[in-house]
Amino acid sequence: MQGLSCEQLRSAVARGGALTAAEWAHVEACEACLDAWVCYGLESKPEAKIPVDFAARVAAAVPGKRETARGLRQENTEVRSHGRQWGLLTAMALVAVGLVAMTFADPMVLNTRIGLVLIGIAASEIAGIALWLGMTHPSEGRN
Amino acid sequence: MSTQIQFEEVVREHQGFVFRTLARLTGASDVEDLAQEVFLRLYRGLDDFRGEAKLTTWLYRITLNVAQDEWKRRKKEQVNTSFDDPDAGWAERISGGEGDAEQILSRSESMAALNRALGELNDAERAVLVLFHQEECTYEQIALTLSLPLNTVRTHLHRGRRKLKERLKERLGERRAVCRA
Repeated sequence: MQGLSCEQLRSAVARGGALTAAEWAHVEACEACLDAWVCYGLESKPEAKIPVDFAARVAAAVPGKRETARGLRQENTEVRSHGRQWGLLTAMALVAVGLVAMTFADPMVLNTRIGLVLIGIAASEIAGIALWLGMTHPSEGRN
Repeated sequence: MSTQIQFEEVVREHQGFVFRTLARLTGASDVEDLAQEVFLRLYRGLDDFRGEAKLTTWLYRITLNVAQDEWKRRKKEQVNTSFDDPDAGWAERISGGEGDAEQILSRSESMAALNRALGELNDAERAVLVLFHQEECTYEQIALTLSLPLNTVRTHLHRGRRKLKERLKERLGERRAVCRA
């Protein structure tokens, strides 16, 4: 093939330098040598200009972002916590007011079946509130 | 502070791969900004990293994503290729007799042609070829990185190589025709 053997061509490819017109003609005509040249080209690692202080600069740049992200997460949690606390206080106050109102309206009502049901509801609400307060939000427990 | 030092070690350990792969996939020589983006994405995701996959697999994935984003950005910009295309103007340079007339393509020119042809493949074929040949990843590693079945990786590799050869053959033919003219 153009007076050039596949071995000669492959050693020229492995040498790395430029190929002559005759060598390119061989590459074009010979499937196996084209394959060898493509593989050689893909396996040659491109020269990458990595600045000496690249790793240090990247590492120095990230903590600020991490702190910011963490700060934003805490801020969101605080807003949620404040809203939740107000909700809890309101619910507790409503339950207390309801019980007092019923007692003053008719003390005997608490001895009836309806009264017992209401006391049960109030007690389970208070237990639920206590459980809720005892639990932390999953996002608050991270890091 | 120790976290910073640890992360610096991670960057130092993997920066070679990241720079090389970005350079190959984008065809640019200066990829520092893109490499920085890769490591920033890596850092931002560290909280979610549970060690189910290897760090390198994850980093490969981020690098490929950043390279793909860069491709998309370039496509949007539709830059005039004559300015940043290293492949452009070959025929004229060759026929103009610059350099040794016997050597129709210098090594850097032929590598640029290869990169250009690589750039014409689809994302998956390009990524598979680079990970397999340049980074010497196994089929299994590539499958894990690209979330592809093993057989699909093999198909992309063979199809990608075939397309690459076809494109290079076409280019060589075109250039030889110009040289003869």
